Amino acid sequence: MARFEDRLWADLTRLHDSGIALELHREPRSKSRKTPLMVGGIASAGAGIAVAIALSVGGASTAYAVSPNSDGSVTVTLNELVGVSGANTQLEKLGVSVRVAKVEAACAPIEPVTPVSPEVATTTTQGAVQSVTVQPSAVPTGDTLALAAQEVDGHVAVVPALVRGSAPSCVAPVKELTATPLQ
Amino acid sequence: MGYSIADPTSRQKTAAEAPSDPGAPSKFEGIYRKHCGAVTAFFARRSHDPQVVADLTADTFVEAMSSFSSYDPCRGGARPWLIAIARRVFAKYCEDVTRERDVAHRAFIQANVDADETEELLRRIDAEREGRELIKRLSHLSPLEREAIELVDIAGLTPKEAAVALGLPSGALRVRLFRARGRLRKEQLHHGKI
Repeated sequence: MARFEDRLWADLTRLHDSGIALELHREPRSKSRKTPLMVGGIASAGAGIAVAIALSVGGASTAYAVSPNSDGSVTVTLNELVGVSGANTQLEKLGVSVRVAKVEAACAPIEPVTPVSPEVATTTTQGAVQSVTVQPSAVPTGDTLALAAQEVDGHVAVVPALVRGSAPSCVAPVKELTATPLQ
Repeated sequence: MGYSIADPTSRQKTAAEAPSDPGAPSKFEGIYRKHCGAVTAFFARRSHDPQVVADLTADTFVEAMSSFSSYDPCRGGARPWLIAIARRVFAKYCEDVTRERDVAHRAFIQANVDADETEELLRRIDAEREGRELIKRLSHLSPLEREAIELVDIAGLTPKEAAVALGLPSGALRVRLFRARGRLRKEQLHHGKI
């Protein structure tokens, strides 16, 4: 039972570390309701345990969450742009070549734009919240995975992009990459 | 089966607020590691489906984590506390199945078990085969009598722990256990199984 037990514990830890308040109330659901979306965890089908969380609105949700996973990956969740520096502090502490960069029009663009393979990072969305799970060991040596964060329709969209060297503190709008649409 | 998240400002305590005790996360892990198997076995006695077993086990520990701040070890220990949560989780699941709700709609944990985990869970389900068969044979007993037998004679809880898990006074549990064992013994003698 070790593998199932360890995987479940990793997800429980992620829930706890993200500081997201959980209150469980059961509501009747109609069959027509869409499948709840997934946030955090491992997004590829059948690849393990993923965590789906519906965040409270206007409550005690945190600005960001950085959660190391048992397989070495790291999940970054940004609820508000104000959480960018806090997330980067945590990423630096973890010693990973991943940084969040705010998208601002006056900043330099990422050139060239390198699409990110699923082995490096996957993005999942739950309601208004987008998370990126990064496998730091898959980031090429000398590169940094920049998570370009921008506000879209009142929510924070995060687009991963590989950059040479260290990540900038901000980037121009990333037009070439399509952010995972918020559902 | 669906869950939604209520406004946490309406709650008195939340999991995020719980660590006024900084050791709470490691204490919870200790409880988790010690009793994950028992909770999984509880559901393995109730379902052949490893996905269902995985999901319900996950649901139980999410709920346990959320309510850990209110957990009182003096009230009977972690195992009966977790079993009590597991019972509620299973009851909700059965209700959803009965009402034909889309039980695939899960709001907080979707345990998409991989092949290795499936194999582990299937081994657990197989290990609980005798327990499942016994529970089927107990179907004529009242639900509480059946659960008393299961928790004490199959899951290995003490009568006091089983009482806590079932929300019964200890004496009432012992009476039910005594009656249930008596009926079972009578039935076995009748059918020549002893």
